[in-house]
Amino acid sequence: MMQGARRERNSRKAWLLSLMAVIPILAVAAGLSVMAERRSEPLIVPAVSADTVLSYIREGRKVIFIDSRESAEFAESHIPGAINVSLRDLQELGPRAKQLLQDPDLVVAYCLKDFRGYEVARALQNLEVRDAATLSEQGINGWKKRGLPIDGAGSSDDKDAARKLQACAESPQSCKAPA
Amino acid sequence: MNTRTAVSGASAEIGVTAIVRVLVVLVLTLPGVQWLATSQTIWAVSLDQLPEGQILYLLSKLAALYAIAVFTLQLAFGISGARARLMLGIDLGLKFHRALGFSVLFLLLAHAGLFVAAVSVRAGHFATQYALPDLFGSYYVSRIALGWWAGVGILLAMAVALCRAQLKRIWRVAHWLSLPAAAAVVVHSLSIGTESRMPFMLMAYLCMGALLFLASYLRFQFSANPKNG
Repeated sequence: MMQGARRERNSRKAWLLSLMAVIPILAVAAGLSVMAERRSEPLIVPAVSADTVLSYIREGRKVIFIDSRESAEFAESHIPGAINVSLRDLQELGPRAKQLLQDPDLVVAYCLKDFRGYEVARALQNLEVRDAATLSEQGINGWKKRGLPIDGAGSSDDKDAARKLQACAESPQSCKAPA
Repeated sequence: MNTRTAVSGASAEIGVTAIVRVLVVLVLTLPGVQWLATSQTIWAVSLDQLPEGQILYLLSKLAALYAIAVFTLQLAFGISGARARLMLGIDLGLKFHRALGFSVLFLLLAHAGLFVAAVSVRAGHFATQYALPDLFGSYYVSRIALGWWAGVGILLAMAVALCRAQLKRIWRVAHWLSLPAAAAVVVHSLSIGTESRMPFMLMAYLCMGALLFLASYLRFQFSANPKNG
């Protein structure tokens, strides 16, 4: 009798645990279905391609990269010349952020996959910084996949990386994605 | 015990109960306020204007903030001990402790599931890079691994409690795994959580700390003076 009750309790527990395990799968399915939907409106924060960024640099226009990750991640690697401003820093800076940026032609906020980059770019828009964008290649990961130069521990120094980036801008064919 | 001692003891109990209630309300409110404060600019546009997966990412962060809040309540409930809970008038029993535990599990799985879903949607393929923890990877990857291991610790602590009948005395020791898991959760949150070092969330952390301190104090108080309560 008692064993039966215990077995019933255990099966109820197992059922509950399985239900919990199903939740992430459902979340993935929901996410994929959202992805499948067609976009009918333009993105509120435009996503510019690395090629567009390079063309801006080639034309001598002012491009500012904002790395929205944690400082330890920034120290590991970043796009040459980028400044490290997280959403937290931006909230502390407030309207002063716009003055610090000094009329850029393009502000590219990025992180690993541009989730945090998007939040920073959107916050910049709200501070009336025009031309804030993210990368269509999706963050520094996409930038690296394109074979574009990065700076940080284990890579070239800032000046060298900046020179490489300028070379990429002037001759995009010279910076190809690694095979 | 004379009348004056009894009256002062009763008013101290009422005071502690009031403090606990205020702390619980703050612990449950502040994470939501913080999330709304950082997300309001993002919600103010049509969903169609957001990049793929951004909503899932936001919901993942909301689940994470509440996972920490509910986990703190669960820890405080467990640490305080039955006698302190009786004194505070919150002796809601084992069923409540289990319900809180399952809520923590639900929120943890929702956080992990929604985060993986967000990254998968953005990348266009399943984000397998987070399937296995890598404590020695890059800063971000290692901090994610810490969260992964915290989740494992919490699962184990739950599992041993559910199997307490079979595990006899071992379960009680193993159930304390929830404490190192809590430490890992805090490091995971403070090192890579966007909201975790913002003002409202820092206030929430202070309230959580105060609640846990109070729970520990009451436990020691009652174990030192078994006649109390």
